[in-house]
Amino acid sequence: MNHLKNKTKLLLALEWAGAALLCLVFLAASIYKVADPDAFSKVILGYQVVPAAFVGWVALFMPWVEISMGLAILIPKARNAALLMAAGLLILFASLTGWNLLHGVEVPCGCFSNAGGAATWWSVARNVMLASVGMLAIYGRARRMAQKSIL
Amino acid sequence: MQGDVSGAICHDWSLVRVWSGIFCASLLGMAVSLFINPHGREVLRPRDEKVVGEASKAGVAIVSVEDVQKIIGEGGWVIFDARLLKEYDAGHLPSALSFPYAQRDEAFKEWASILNSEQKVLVYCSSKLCDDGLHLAVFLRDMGIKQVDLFVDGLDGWKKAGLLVE
Repeated sequence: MNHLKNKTKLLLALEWAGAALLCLVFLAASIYKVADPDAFSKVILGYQVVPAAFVGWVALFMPWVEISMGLAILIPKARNAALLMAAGLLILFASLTGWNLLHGVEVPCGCFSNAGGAATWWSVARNVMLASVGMLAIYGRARRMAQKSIL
Repeated sequence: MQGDVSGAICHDWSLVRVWSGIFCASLLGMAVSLFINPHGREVLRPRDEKVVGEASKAGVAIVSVEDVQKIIGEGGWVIFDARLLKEYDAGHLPSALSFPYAQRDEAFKEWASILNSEQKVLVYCSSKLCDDGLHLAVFLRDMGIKQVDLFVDGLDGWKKAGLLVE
């Protein structure tokens, strides 16, 4: 029984660590986007994914999705759904960046500032790693809740 | 004993509930930020209108494709490409020189020997959606060059007119 309790505590720590990391990442990423939507709209244009007519709306809306999602991650009952959304967005960003890199299109990363330089394969890898952290946190929470029902 | 993982998630709020909540909170946040900072609405203006509008406000003259053809034909102008060097190497206007706005200080030092206050300069970027050409025009004017015109349609406009690039 003690072994299970210790495992539950470890899973709780992993869940909170993963959630806190992703919350901080998304809140940090949203700051410059809220402060300077024009600079962020230039980054979005560079990815050549969003039609020009909608770039402004995406530039205004996206940072608030990041803020709301980041805060939702901290709410235990909303955590799994928010982490799933976060992981999905991270995989989407990684895919878009990787697609552009594969086609030789230089795009600004636009991750945490508009002066961060061009996106690289490290940007892609970082997003994939963060998505993995999110999925691990979801799994950890599910395991912990299941073990709680046994204890 | 292994627990049933699939049943554990039913203690949490549903995906639809949480995602709807995030969507609504985001809309509210966006609305509040637009209310607090009306200047943020500028980003909703179509980008091509934005660059033309800002050029007009800054007093930078805009030239057309025909004007650029004349300028290249007559000579006597310096033409600067405000895009990154990699983009310049992939194709640029005939007789244009690379002057990336992102590295403007280094580029100004590089081209200082051919620039003086009376030298006529033409700048361009990739298209009407790119404002680096405009920013470069303002920068060069601030550095003392009296006449700096902007080819706002950029390389895309040049190619659309069926003209060749170098």
